[in-house]
Amino acid sequence: MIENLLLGIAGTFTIESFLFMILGVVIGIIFGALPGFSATMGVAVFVPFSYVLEPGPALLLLSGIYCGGVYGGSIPAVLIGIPGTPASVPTALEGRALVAKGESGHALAIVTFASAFGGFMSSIALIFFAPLLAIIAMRVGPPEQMMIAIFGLTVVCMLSEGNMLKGLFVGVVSLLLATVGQDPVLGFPRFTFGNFMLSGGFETVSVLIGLFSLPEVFKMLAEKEGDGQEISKVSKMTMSLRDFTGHIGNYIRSTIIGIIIGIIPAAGPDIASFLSYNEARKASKHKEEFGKGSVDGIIASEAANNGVTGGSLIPLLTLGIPGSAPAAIFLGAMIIHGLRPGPLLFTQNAGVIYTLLIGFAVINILLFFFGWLCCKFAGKILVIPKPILALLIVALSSVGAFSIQQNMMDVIVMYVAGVLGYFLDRYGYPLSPVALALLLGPMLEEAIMLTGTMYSNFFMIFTRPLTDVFVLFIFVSLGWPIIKKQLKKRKEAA
Amino acid sequence: MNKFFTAHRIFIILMLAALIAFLSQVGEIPPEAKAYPLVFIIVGIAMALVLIFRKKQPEVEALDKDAIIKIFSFAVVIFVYLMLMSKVGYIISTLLFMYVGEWMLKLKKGVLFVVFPIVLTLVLYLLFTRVLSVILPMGTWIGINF
Repeated sequence: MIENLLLGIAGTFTIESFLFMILGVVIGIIFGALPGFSATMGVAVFVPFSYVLEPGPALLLLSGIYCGGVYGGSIPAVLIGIPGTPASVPTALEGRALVAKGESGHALAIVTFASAFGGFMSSIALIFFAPLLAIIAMRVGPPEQMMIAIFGLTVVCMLSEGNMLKGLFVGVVSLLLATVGQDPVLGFPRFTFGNFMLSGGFETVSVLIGLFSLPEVFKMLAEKEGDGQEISKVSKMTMSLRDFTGHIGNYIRSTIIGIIIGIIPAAGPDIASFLSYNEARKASKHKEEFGKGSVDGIIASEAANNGVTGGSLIPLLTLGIPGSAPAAIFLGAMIIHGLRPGPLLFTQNAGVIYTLLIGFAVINILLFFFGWLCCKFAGKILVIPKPILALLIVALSSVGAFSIQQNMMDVIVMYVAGVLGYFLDRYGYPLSPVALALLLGPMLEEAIMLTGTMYSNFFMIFTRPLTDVFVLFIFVSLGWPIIKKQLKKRKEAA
Repeated sequence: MNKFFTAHRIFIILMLAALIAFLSQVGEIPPEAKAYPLVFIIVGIAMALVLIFRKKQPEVEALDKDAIIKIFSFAVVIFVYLMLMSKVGYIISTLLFMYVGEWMLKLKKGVLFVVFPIVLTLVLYLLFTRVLSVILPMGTWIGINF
């Protein structure tokens, strides 16, 4: 392990790696800060840029965008009161109250420190837990892979709060779309509708670029003129030692919540942020301050949503299940770079993976400094006219989708996915299951085929302990909404 | 319009039609390769029917006429842009798209209006062709390439 960590340090501390980490963090902060843009969109649009890079710097660039994007959403939350991403809603609530007191700089300083703290601690968890989980993943065979894929998909669909049926519907349709192209056993082309260009299936990254970028453009167009709020001036950015020592329990609790939520497939930063905010309110001695500019509220939201970043990469690198939507796109990029998640990744590609693990920690340190710097220029970033943003995204998405295989078909797929994504989003259908189903679909089908070959009697797979564990997870995730409902009823009755 | 045919229901009916189109293709697939997708088609159709006929329909904030026209026309402009890309090449199509887009989205006329499309198109073109070694569409009718 130490040898591998040294390999990672050697890979991270090069001028090239540093440049891409800084570039990624800055791009990510800008993408996160612009209302309507998101970390997911940033990672999706920049995946094609990473193709020509070596795998190490490519993953560091995308990691920087991911971490920067999650953090950047909090800047408009404080300065305009409009959260750049849903994960910054609690920050917007508390941040605006602090702005009203003339403490915008203090609010942004707390946001920046809490984000960097949460992100850094999650990267430490990533460094220690990913290799450990990889040892367990050594025992994963096709039956377990099958159950892992089903578990990942059920969790995503079940997490579609209040929209379980919609989540499941989107998941099922996306699994079907993942079967377009040659089947894994015979290589027979399926659902090509006579179009030979579909025989290779849909390019997943193109679909994801369209899905996470164009709907935002269309939504931006629907906003009325003058919807933009006034941007508050950034007062002097200050933070005392007490802002850390006086809230250390909150920092740690919120980060742990973020990491755990990150590990759960597709439970993204928004869930972590709200959960952690509620926990902080429960634990606080000054509950009355929440909603009126509570520093604890900002810390809880920010440490948790950035804690998700490292946590979401733990199941991704070891089991191939992305812990969030940007992590799903990350998986697409890894596959293109020839990096197959799983236990072998930590031995066969130790150099690249440990560079990513160490780099992730460095990125979160850089996030503090560049975040601090970007806050000072935030006023200028936030006044970019919407037409410019809309055109920029369309241009980047189109050229990005084309560059994957230098094929116009991918651009059309990106466009159709974008239009479809807009309607799905408008009618309250979650988009995360699409990303997960498209990526896990082929793995699921292959695992089912191989399991069928290994066991003529299907029930024999339950003699494998690890399979049983994942089956248990599936039942828990399926039963969770019912359990939650019952608990709520009891609570109300009490 | 009949109250039953809400925008959401029409959307799901279109999804259902797509699922039925997939179902129509199943017969051409060998048995070894069709069982897996068939499960999703059947489950998908069943779910689509539930989503169409269930009473609880999503409450969506209605868009005003201007917003609908804006979104629809911009979607058409993007589509035309993508179609033109292979015909007139990346540079001409992107410049055209940018200027039409700026005019449509009512960007204030000024230096930014003129300069932004040129700078963005050239930066992306040079970045992709020179740095990322991607051959962008050159155009079958006409094209500017360097």
